Amino acid sequence: MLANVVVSTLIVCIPSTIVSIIIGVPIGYVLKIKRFKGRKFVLRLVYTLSGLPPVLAGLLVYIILSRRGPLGFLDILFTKWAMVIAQVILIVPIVVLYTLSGLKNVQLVLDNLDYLNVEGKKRYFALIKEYSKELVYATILGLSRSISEVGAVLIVGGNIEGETRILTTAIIYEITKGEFSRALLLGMVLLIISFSFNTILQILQGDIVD
Amino acid sequence: MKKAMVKIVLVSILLTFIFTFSLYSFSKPVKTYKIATTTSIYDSGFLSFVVPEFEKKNNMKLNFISVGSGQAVKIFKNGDADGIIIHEKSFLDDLKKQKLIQGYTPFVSNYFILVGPKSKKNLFKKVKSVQAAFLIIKNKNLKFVSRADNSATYIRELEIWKLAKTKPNFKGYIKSGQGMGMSLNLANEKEAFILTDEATFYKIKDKLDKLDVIYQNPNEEILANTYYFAFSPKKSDLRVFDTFLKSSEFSKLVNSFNQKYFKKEVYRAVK
Repeated sequence: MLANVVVSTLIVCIPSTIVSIIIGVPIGYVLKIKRFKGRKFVLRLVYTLSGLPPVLAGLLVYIILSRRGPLGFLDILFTKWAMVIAQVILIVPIVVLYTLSGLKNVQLVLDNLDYLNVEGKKRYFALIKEYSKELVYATILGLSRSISEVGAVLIVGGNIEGETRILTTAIIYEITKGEFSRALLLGMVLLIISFSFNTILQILQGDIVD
Repeated sequence: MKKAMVKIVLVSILLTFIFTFSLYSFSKPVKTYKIATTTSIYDSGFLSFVVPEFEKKNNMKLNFISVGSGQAVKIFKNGDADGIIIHEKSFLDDLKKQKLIQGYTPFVSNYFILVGPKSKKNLFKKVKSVQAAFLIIKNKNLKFVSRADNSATYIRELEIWKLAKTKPNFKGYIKSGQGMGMSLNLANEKEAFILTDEATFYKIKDKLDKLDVIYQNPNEEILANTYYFAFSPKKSDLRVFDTFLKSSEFSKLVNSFNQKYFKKEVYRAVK
């Protein structure tokens, strides 16, 4: 029972974070490096979306994925896929913001790359490698948000036992039944997982720096 | 070298997770159906107790989405669930009219009861009907928790107020907007009265130290609480579940559930 909930939690949160990194880091890069019309507007949008209430994200994904919605034919409402989609929507703006703030003194690095004649895609990867330490923070924040999130995943996942019940929604369910001690136990497990994630990522980070 | 190893190990752990995730999502050996259900019969643990037996026998998986009756109907109407379990007949009649279901099966019942603070129990000693009890609560301006959430329990509560020829417009009337379990917790904290189904109340009674049964009467029709199952005609496979709910095997499961959790007859199988 508990093992099942933990596994479900991991297979929702880890892919959501990875997908968010893959989408969010390039967006953050473009916003930092390129100057284009409407950039300020996009920035404002990203700032706003980084504070998007999870229940609103959940509602939007629900409407889109419902049978009557535009993507209803996919038949993925009340599955882990829907939960991952909702979480990606919540995490991408956070990753974009932290990529933006992570790329400090970027002009200096870019000048060096110019000097070394690094062009095109290589430029992007060289820069990302240079800043990978900072980007680990974006990953940590993404993971923390996804693992602690409850509003959106409850709406689009449906809290189905053995399927879409993850630690946070299981806590809600236990509270509903008045099982406060079991809810607390689940909360402890949540904290332990979060702590392990941070430990792993910090080891990775140290590795990169050296 | 050592650090490179750590890195490799960590990356492979990540990849394993992704792999399991894709495997998990793509391999569906058994037919899975989604059933939208009202919170009360789910929170009491009844469905989780009864259904595994059925699933094993029929190589079928039922996923329950537990929400208030109103929301359950919406989910079913949108086609996001294949079946529905609720305890408000009028909702089902509407679904039938719209040809979204062919019929519905009553399969289990219990009673609505009025619970409230132990300390106020003697105020209700001479009460003859549930509406009389409601009137005392209103006239004495006692606290009352209403779910106010378009659930079957809430609809029934409103019917009782109507029967009492009054409206719940008094200061002690608290609208919780939450499920049965949560609302009971709230009533316990606030030492308030609340209309609930027997099963949910008895299942979590040991956590509700301030509350006790104030009024119950199995002969009052307004307090009868029957659960129905219906399914979409497009999902005719679910007829097996319908048949199961009428079987003697099911009645036996109902009895063992009662014995295990209540030590008395709370749920009654409908035949």
